[in-house]
Amino acid sequence: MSGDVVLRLSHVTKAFGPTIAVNDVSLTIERGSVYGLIGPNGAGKTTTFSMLAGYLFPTSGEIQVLGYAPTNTDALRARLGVLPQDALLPPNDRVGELLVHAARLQDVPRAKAEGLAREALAEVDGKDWWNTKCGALSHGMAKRVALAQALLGEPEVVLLDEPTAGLDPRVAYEVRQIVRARKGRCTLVVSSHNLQELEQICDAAAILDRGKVVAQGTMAELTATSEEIRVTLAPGPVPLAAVRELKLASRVTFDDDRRELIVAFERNAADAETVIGATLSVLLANGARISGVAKGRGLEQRVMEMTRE
Amino acid sequence: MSPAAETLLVAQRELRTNLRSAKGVALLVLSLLGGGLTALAFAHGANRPKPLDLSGTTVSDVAPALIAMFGLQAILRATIWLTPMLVSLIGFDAISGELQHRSVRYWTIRSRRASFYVGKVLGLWTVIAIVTLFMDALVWLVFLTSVPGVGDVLKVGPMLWLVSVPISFAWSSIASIVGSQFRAPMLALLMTWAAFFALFIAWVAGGATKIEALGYVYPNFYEDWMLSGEPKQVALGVLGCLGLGVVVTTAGAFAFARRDV
Repeated sequence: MSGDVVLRLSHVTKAFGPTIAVNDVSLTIERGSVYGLIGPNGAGKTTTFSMLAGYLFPTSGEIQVLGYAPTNTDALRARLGVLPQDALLPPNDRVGELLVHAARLQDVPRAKAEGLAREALAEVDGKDWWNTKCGALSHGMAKRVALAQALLGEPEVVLLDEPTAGLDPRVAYEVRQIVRARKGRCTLVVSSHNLQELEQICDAAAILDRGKVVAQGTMAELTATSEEIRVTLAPGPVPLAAVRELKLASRVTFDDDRRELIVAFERNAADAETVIGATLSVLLANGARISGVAKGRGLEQRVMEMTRE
Repeated sequence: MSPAAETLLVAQRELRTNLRSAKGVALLVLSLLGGGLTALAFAHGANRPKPLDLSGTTVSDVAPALIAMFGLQAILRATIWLTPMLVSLIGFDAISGELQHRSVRYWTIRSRRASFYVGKVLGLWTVIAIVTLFMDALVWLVFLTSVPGVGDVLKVGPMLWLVSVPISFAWSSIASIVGSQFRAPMLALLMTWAAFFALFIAWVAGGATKIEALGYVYPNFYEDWMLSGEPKQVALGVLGCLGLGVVVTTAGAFAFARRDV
């Protein structure tokens, strides 16, 4: 295992009876990165995630987390934190004792366990819930407590399955801020439907569809941010010929439906900002009305292209 | 962290959770009421005057103690025979409940699966032992305070409770291995009862066919051995019961460590 790779899936397949949920998936995730698992429902994200967390055993293939099988609890104790998507917190446990118990199982001495648990709870802005029963927490509060247990004790790898699913926008924003604050302190793997959120926080991602990886790479590679720009034009003139004369442009197309001008360029010839400047100058000089500019094609569009109905 | 330390932490949590859950409290209260009221009824019957004179000594002088001792033993042995019911009602959702709501996922990343499983079994066993002890202690108290001259209560009572301890371990291990196969607690309960009934049938069949070994899988089979008074037989009874529990617990832990959660 190379020093920088902390998670590795090699030809992993998971079948539930005749149904193949994950089919020959291979991924490597580097230390310190924020990695997204993306895909529509049924793509195999949660199954892949569950195998990374050691909840499910792969039918074939091999998984390594920090060089160990995910079920090697003794080696991964306190080094791997997991926020499962749909695991209920034990309703009769008080938040404080739940976190203390989790800390104790992470081999934190009794004298330090409460302090660590309070610290984790404070990080998710829930220090007032210490004596609240988990069953009495709202969905948003429970999600944050679950996040606290995942972040307990500064784990090296944190797996977050749909961390903002079902949360109202304000709580989702707060959870995103908590996740962002962890960026750089550990390796984060985030599975989510919220593509905008993933685009903002992830360095790299894999797009899954029907159990297979259909694309993977850095976010820049996936969204082609260093290969094309998109300019949305308001009704009015579309000076396509003028833009095509730009030396930096390797290909220029116009999508009538979206009224989107796509200018592709060689990543070695220029950066996106230079191409944006040149393109906008030509457009403005030719009377075009500009509604918006974006680098790349956007993760959402990329996912739409790569996954089928 | 050693497996033993993990197991202890899981067992402590199981104990705490059970003893303060509504179900745990309700079963404790019902057990106390059942044991206490039955004991009171026996004690009241034993104390009823019987003025029959036999060669100078009235039965009323002797009978209350005899009746009381019979009643005491009957009630305490009944608590042993009701152990499977108590085990199934307290333990049916210990693992299946965690599987159903996937709460188990918070623990399997922090403790070995086998430690989690064994901790659950030991926690359940301890709860049963404690509930039985409270129930038995109430029965002892009723007899001690209601029936004069019933001096052996503090000898017979604790002995019968001690006999119940290895038996409840074996039942706890069986309930856990069956319950851990199912994600729906209600299904786990029904299948636990079915398994217990199957073991009962095996014991009955063993008695009917004179193939004693058939009864070895039925934990209460060892009760008579443990109460025989012969040291070798008592030891065999204890070891047989604990051995059954250890084998079943080991098999359950092995299976749990290899299943998806």
